Amino acid sequence: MGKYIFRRLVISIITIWLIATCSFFLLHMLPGNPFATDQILSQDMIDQLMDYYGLNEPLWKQYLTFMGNLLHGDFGTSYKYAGQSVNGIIAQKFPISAQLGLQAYLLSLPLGILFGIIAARKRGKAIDYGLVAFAVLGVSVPVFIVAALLQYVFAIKLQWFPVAQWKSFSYTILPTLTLAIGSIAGRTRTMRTLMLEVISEDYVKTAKAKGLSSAQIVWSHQIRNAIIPMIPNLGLEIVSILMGSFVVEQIFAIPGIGAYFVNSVTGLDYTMTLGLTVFFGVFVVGANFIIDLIYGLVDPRIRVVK
Amino acid sequence: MKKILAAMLSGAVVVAALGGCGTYTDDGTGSSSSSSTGSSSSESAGASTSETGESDAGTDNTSFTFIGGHPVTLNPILSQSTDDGNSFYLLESSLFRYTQEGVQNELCESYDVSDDGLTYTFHLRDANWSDGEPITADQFAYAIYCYTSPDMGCPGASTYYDIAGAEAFNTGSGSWDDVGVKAVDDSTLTITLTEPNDDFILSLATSAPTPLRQDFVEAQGESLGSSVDSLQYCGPYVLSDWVLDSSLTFTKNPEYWNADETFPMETITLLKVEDANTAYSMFESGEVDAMTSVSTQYKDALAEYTTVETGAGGMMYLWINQNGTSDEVGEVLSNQNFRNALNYAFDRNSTVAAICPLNVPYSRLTLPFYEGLKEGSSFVDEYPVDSAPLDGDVEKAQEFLNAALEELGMSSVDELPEMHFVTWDTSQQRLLCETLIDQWKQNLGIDSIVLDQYPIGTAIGNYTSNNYDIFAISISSSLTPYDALDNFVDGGDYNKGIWTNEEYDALVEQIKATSDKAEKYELTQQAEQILVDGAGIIPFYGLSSAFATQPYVSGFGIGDLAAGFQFEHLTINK
Amino acid sequence: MKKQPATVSAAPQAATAITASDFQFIPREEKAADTVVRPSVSYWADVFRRIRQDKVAMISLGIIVIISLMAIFAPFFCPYDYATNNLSAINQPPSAEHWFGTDQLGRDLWARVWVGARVSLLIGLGGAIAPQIVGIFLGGISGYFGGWVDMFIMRVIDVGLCIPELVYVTLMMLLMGSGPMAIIATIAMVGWMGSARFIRGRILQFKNREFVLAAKAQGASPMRQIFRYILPNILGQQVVTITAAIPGAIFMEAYLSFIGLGIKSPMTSWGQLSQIGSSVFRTSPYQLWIPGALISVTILAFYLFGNSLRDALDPHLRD
Repeated sequence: MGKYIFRRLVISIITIWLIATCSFFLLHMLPGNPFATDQILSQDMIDQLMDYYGLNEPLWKQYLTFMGNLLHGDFGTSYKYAGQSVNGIIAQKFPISAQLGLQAYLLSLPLGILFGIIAARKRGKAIDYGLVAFAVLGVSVPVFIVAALLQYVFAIKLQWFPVAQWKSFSYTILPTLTLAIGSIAGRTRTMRTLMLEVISEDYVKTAKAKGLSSAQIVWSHQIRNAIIPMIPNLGLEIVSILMGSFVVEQIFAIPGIGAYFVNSVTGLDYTMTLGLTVFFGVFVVGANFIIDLIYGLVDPRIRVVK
Repeated sequence: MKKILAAMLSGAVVVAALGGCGTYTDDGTGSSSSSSTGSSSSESAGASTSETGESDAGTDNTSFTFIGGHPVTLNPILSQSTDDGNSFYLLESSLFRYTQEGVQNELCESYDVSDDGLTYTFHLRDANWSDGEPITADQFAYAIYCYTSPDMGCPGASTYYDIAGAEAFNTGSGSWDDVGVKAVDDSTLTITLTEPNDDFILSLATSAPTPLRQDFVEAQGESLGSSVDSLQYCGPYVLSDWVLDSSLTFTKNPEYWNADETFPMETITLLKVEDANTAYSMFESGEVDAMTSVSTQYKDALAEYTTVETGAGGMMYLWINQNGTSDEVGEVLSNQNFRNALNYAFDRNSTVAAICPLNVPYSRLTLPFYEGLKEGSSFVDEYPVDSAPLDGDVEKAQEFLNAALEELGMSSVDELPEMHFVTWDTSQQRLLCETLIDQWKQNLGIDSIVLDQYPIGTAIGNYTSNNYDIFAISISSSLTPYDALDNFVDGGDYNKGIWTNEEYDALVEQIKATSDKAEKYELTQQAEQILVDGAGIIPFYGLSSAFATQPYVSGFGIGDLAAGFQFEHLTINK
Repeated sequence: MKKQPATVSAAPQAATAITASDFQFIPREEKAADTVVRPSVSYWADVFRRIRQDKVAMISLGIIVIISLMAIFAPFFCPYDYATNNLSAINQPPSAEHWFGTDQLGRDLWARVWVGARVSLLIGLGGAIAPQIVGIFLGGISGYFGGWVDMFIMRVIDVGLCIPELVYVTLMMLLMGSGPMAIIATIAMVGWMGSARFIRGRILQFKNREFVLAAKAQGASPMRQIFRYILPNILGQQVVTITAAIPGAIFMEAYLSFIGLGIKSPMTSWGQLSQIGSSVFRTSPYQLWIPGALISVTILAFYLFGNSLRDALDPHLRD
């Protein structure tokens, strides 16, 4: 087991290195430079900045510098936000997105699974159709519309919650709901489908034949088996939800990290993009590492071999 | 000078692209000067005088919350955007301050100019940093060292090329010792220029170099200006809280030399709200006192709160690249008649009214805000040029087109090669380009112009590397009409070989050599006529600024030339 | 799934009551009832029959067909061109003249909505199916073979998923232009990794099941095991995943145009229309509701049809 963990650890580190390297070269393949923004600078100014940040150096040299810094856990300084270290920006922004994401996750996970189970168990009944309708609406209405509607109804008309910003718990409710609705809907659909498959499995029939109570069957045979296929993407899912949502954060003026994932790429802020990518990558790889380890525990039929 | 303006002002581009804008009116100035005396006593009065406003923003009259553009960096050396400049206006002082009333002496109490017009001697007033240290002349000298040193990467370095030796130092061929900036003693600074320049003080006021303290700058290194503690303040406010891209809190600096007379607000909070619907909702519900831009769709809803200032915000142009993306296209676009066909074929008035109604359609190069020779009249009125009518002139455009086709040896528009109209991602930009392409199609029958939309970095990258046929982008206003023309000479700041006219270049040289203003203006008119006729760059509309304030706010200003958040006399009376 | 009728626990009690009279002699020749008398119905014929009997499926299919027909033919019968501006008639609410009103450039929304439908339906379906195909193939191989193949593909996915998708989206679009096929290819390129992972998980779940082992023991090739024995068990779920991915693909296109990479002007799409609509929804709400409602109805139809298809495809769900 120790040897196995060690091996996986080495692989994880190589994965992170690959992520950093691939992103670095792909990013530098994009045309343009970090200073080509809608604030048009003269060529002189751009040259000054390119020289200052060493962007006129050969690419391999820049790569070595980047890797050298990375080994010290230093992502460098943003090109757009001159003087701001990428580490600093992540430290300031990530907790906010993570809180929002976690709240939405904690709301959507149990509700989505519950709705999925109910819909599957009451298949063909009114409640099933109701939940399916909700699930479809939740997925087919884009998040910017949901956000605008919630904001309009609860903040402007009813004035129950503030319109935007991020100051106290009451400010978090509308954005959390916005994020959660979409993922509850998605999860309800997936869970319903998976449950339907499991319900007719032989082991469920066996359990029934053995006289287990309905609740026991649902809990220990159906749900457990239905959840398994959701696991492989769980790592990425948790991490993406922690990393914030561009749209929701923009609409509710939340100082999260979501917008940086988009703007740093379109604005070619190399250090920022790479810093976020590696940070994100470490999270995902770490989560997968743990999930791979526990995968076998959940489903005894699957053995992570060797 | 032009270059720093480019940096300082081009924020208008963003603002306009988002359909908004922002500035002040004379009314605001008038009412605010009377209220400024009253408000200086409000420090103690606080909330006691407040009326029972419905607003949620609190009822004290000494704190002000508004939505506006956020700085990306507060490093005075590396700063390059208008939004940075707006915040620096509140945080730092310079020799002069560009206010709503024009250039005012700030840290410079008085100055002398030598007879040859080359040497300026500035006498500083006694003033302190927010930590109580005195502001001295050598801090200014060190600051200019930072702004021009080749190792510091200051993007605005060329602003200081007027100073003797600065260009050589900045480009690495000279040394700092030869730069004409000397701190004679603690309160005397001399600056020597390369040649006499009447606009030097205006340039200093708009570029506003802030003093820097060497020990602090060196101790901070790269992190200068990255947080509340990594910056020193000599302006009317200190920064007390900064959440990047979210909120900035300015608190009054009691050490500021003119703290009693100006800037009555105790605290100012600047919020960043990118979504126009959200910003509107916050304004509607009274969560904020003002917004620096008004989005087009809320133009009517906010009409009674909105102040529109047309003029110095900059200008939107269509750039026609005569080299083209291919030789074939280059041949077509270097045909002057063809360019003029494009120029005359679209209706500026209804296009602007449909897409960005707060702006002002325009078909010549110089904006109406430049003053004329006579008091109260403007350059554009005194020196008219013959340019395309604002409603377009389809018949004339077709004449141009037919002439062009004949010269190109084509029998119909179908033989024209595919031309690439390059633009970036905002929806307003897209709408603008779509309607132009459609108007060219409807009025001239040209359907070989295609829209290439890219993410903004890529699009602007294409623009700077001349990889486009047509491009629509605005640039900021210059200080004078002739400065504006200087941008378009061959190899000028905004003309990297896309349009060449020797006569024009010669005229611009002549303008520079002349010192008589009337003559300068006359030559400017001639040059402008050539540029407009040549249609290498097609003027489209002048950017306006529009901001919305609650009725209880007075003295809110962003000022022409977008000098900064000009809150000298900002008061609220709820 | 219907409830199982008999309660098994009752059986032993019943057993005690059995007497000889409960049994009946069956002549030998009647055992021939085992032989198949009706013609054998192939898997796909059976799927088709079940779908046809399903009312919900047929209604959904009808909606999809109507919308598709409108997308193909409506623009031909509209007096207005989808790209022609009329700056004197901007932002007009729906009227007899313009059935769906006009947009910010005075373009007729009825024409634009149906032109947009072409793009959105194509990208929605293509963008939902393409990544699944790649994902099923690579995920299947990875899950079934395990070992270094699995390790390799999984590492590629680990790395690929962590690189911001915008980076390759931008690269792909710059390389391939911005036609619908380029967008589908881009979505496939970004989306295959998630589905490959999912499929791999499912394959792992099934590959040691008895019926697969039996096939293996009988000498079925790995590809046959994957595609003939494992895949039908997974397909039902994948059909739902595909219908679930349609809105994602439609909005991905809108998002791409939001950052300047979407379908090329003057073409448009539902995603773009609703996005532009949402920016003016307080002043001209119809510009949001019309494309928004069409998207929702289409997605609902696809989803319900997908559900029925899943029921028909999945051997487990048959009674």
